[in-house]
Amino acid sequence: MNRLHGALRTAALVLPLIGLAAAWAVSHQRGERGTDWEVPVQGYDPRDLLRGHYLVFQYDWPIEDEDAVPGPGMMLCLDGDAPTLTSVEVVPLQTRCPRPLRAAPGDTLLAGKLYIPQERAAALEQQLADPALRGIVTLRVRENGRYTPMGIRFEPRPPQEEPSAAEPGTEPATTP
Amino acid sequence: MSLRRLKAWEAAGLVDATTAARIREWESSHASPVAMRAVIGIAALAIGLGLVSVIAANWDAVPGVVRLGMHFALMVALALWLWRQAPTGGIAAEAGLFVLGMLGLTFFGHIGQVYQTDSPLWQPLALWLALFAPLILSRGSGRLNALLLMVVMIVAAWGFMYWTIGLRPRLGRIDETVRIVLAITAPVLLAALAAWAQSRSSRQGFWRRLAEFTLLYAAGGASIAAIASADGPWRTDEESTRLLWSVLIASGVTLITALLVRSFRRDPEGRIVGNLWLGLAAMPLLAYALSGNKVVAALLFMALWAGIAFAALRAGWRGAFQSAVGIIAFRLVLLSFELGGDLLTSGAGLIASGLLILGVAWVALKISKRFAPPSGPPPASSPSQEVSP
Repeated sequence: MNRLHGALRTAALVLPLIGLAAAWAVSHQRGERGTDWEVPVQGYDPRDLLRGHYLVFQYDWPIEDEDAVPGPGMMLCLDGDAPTLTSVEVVPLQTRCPRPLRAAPGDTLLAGKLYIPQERAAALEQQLADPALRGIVTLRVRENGRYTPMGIRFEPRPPQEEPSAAEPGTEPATTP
Repeated sequence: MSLRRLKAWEAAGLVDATTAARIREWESSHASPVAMRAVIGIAALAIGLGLVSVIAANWDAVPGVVRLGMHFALMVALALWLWRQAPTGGIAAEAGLFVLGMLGLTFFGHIGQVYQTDSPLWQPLALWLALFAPLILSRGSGRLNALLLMVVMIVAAWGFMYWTIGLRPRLGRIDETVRIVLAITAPVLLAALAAWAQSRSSRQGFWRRLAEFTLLYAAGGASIAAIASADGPWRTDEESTRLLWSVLIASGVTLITALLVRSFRRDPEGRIVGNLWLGLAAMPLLAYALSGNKVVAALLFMALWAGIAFAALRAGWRGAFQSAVGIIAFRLVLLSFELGGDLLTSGAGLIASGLLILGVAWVALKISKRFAPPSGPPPASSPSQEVSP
């Protein structure tokens, strides 16, 4: 009886270590798998780009149909030669398509966030607010359509796009 | 030790020469190099602090996998150390267990940073509970870990509720309501476990604290039900079906807890606690039945805390008794303003309300001083800290 008690207490001590190691392994494996896609983004409110260590941005999906909004209940079908995204189509959830992308429950396809090191924060914030630059976020998309933002880089914005970037006060788009 | 004093004692004739010689001999053979140890200790501290600051300064530059590996190695080392501790544990084991639990909690956040994953807060908390609750329940020895377990459980349950409400399309369903209320009332069941273990475990302090925290949580929930019953009536509310389900489940889970506590604890104090749980189980039903009247809601609230004060009086919980009296007095003052809304608009009304507050405070102070059970060691169980009314 006493030996059983001791064994159970030891098991209770080992269980969290095994569980956390498993959670780590699953996250690691998920992080490695998937296709990388590059998506243009913009900061959505100059005062709220950085929330703690997170860089917050709004996706600029190359949506073909201009009226379509990837809101709740919708998902995206990606088209292009990874990582170059040529166009996306907004379709209802549960639609079958070769390269799906869907938001995690409680999350949105309109905006995203990226964890960044503190000393790069100020520089990234400036670049994201610069109208001459365009932010490109790399999304790693898994087969089931779930995705993880991996990193951000900047390139000069093509001249014809500048007016749209200069639009003042882009609405912070969040969905519950 | 300083041998100078020995010389003085020898000169004063307090110690004879042979004894002094023997003391000197013993001291020289048992001398411990205090200065040497202090130097080694300071050096070790400096190296440790230096390592910590070097790691902290370059934390962002360390590859994610290495960072997670260090975090994990720390947990393994702490678990090994805990494993070698005595079963009942001491303050050090309690603190070590708490630190291990916190390292486990932050590990989820760390994974999220390294792999850029993002999940609703309640999910890692629920996983943490599944992994760490057996550990804390089998090794916790004091209030620190009882509090940690309780807080994580409550935050996970309430986080789950807000997350579910956020998924609007699914909210119309009754099974969602059932799941939410079950999650929110689940921490209460720990009281039954605590009642069972209190007479069987050597870690009395832990189970006692856990029982107190669950009782405090349930009393808080019952107070919210009483306060919310001022609106209504809930019967005719457009959400009445959902409200009825919520009330039935909350009462049901609390009733199960009450019956289990009563059957596990046969001692006099246990009977009082069991009856208190029965009263708490009735509160949601009463709130539903009596909802829709401000005065009735206030009376219900005061009846709840009068019941708690009565139980505290009989069980000898001084702090709990005084807190309950203070809460009732506070509610009484609020009620007077709710009933006489114009009290504050005239000079006479202001004087009257001032006198009323003084009167209530004076009576509450008298009651809590005169009737409060003495603060003695047993059964010093106060579910909340002292509040002077």
